[in-house]
Amino acid sequence: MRITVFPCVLAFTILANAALADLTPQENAARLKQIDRNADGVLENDEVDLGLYYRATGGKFDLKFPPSSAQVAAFAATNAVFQLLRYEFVTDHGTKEEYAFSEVKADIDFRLPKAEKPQTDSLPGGTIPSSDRPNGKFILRQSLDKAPLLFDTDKSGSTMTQGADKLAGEGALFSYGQAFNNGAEEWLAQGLFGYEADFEGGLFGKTSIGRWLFSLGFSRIDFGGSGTPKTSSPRFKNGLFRDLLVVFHWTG
Amino acid sequence: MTTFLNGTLPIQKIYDLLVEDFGSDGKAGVHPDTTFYDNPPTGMGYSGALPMQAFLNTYVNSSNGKQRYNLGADTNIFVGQVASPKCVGNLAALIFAKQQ
Repeated sequence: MRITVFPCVLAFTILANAALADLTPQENAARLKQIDRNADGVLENDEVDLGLYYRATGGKFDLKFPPSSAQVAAFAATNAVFQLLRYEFVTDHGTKEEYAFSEVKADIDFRLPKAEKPQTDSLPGGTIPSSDRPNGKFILRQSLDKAPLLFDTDKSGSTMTQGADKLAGEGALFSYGQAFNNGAEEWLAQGLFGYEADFEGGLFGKTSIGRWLFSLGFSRIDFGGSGTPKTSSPRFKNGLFRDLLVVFHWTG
Repeated sequence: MTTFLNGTLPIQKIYDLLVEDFGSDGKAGVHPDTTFYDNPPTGMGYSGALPMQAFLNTYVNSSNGKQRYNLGADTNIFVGQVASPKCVGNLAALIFAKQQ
């Protein structure tokens, strides 16, 4: 029972500590940029007011579409919570024309949420920049038929999930076993190590796109320890290489 | 300064007094937007209107409290009168408005 309860308590403790931890300077700056209207890296008073407006309203507006300075000023003139937040801010940080990001805390002073990462622009119908082209990659599988298809289909979210499951089930096999009664040891390595890469052009001109795959299969078992069996494994006679296969595929 | 000369407390002074009194009542980390009934850190964790009213009766509506907050002898502060959201800043605004 203790084994079951302990991980739950530990997980809760870690989460609580994470929630109370101070923001890193980078995370603090990323959050403050959400209210830095002119993106100059410091907070002028109207930007401080925007942060206090966000806090006083309980974060009721989208920071991507902030209210104007006039709207904030109109709110500030009548809202007691805002006025007292301003008073508390000045008490804590003094009266200045601008405040450096390092002086204020986005989560404590303004209750600003985590900033969303900027989305990269896609190029619909355009060519893939050379820096974004898929590079070659090394693969490790149980056998050649478990290697990726030379022409893969489109990878939607669900197929990528299936792909992850597939990878776990088809990965190369490395194992070690020891029999404690006689000290016999067994080392096993079975799989395929490959390198695949895309290419453009070739025999069919510039428009052809292909992929080549170079692979090296291995299958080995070793016995060791004081209790080494005299008879071989039923699968890998005498613990020697059963096969060493070098394959080169290309298509276009 | 003008408000001091006129005999009324500024809302900032009322807020400071409230923070002090909430501290005496065992509530630390109080800010203008700290609510009455939510649990810390966003609120003070009062369990309901009755314990909150008990705080007001002890620290604000008592004879000593009325003198401290510059309230008239027949003026009482009730938790139901605090504007929503029920937080320290809005309580300070209510006391500020009800000064004698």
